[in-house]
Amino acid sequence: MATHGNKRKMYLTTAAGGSTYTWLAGEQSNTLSLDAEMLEATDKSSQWRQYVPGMKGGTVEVTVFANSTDAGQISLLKSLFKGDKVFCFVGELGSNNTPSEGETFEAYVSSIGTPAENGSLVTRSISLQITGEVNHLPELK
Amino acid sequence: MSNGLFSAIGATYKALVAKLTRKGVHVGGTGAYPRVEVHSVIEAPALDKDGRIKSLNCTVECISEDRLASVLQMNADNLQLLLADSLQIDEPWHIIGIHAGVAQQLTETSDKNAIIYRIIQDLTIYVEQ
Repeated sequence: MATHGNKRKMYLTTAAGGSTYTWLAGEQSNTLSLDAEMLEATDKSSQWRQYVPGMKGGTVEVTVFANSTDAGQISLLKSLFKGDKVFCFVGELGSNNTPSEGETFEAYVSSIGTPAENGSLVTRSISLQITGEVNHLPELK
Repeated sequence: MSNGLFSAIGATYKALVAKLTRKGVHVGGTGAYPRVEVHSVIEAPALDKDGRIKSLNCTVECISEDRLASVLQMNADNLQLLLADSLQIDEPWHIIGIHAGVAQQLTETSDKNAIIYRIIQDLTIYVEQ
């Protein structure tokens, strides 16, 4: 069943396995990109190329309305300025406000762009580099 | 927690009328001149996923039978009031900013052959819960 984009949000928690997930205030959009390296294992047994999945990784792009008082945006700024790791969830929370459907991961902020156009609200376009394992919910079996 | 379905139209209209009301200028839709009319408030869909940030477009119109300079001065005074000072708005909203858009000057003839001068000023107002 299709999902409305407004329902798939980006949330931050304070530590790995944290219990309180807070929506990144001012979020307009997010894109989670995951990829798996493809290692070529072609041999003479076939005229078709063969591959074996290798290392996996991912990045996140999120755009927010700039908010200097939001704890979530401050933690993302600290990640860029101080190298702090951030703990994220992209998806939908369940009835008990814990991740229900989506991906949890840890990341570092790799870039922040802050356009300030005349007549518009200031936004932040934030890029994150995922580090370590990404967990999909519900668990893939 | 925000309510993404809550409209800011009423609070914005009320805030504009309150701010623009001053001695010597009638704010409203009656036939008195000179007057300022606040109308055509349009609320766009929420800009963020939680429905907390919205933009509204509205028209502030200055009308006078006196002379063109009257409406030009009224419009300048309106913008001074709206852009220079903070605009108070009812909870749960607060104003992020106001942007003055297109201003259009019209000169018309009424059904009584009187000349009516107008300035139609577009505004974009950003609000947040």
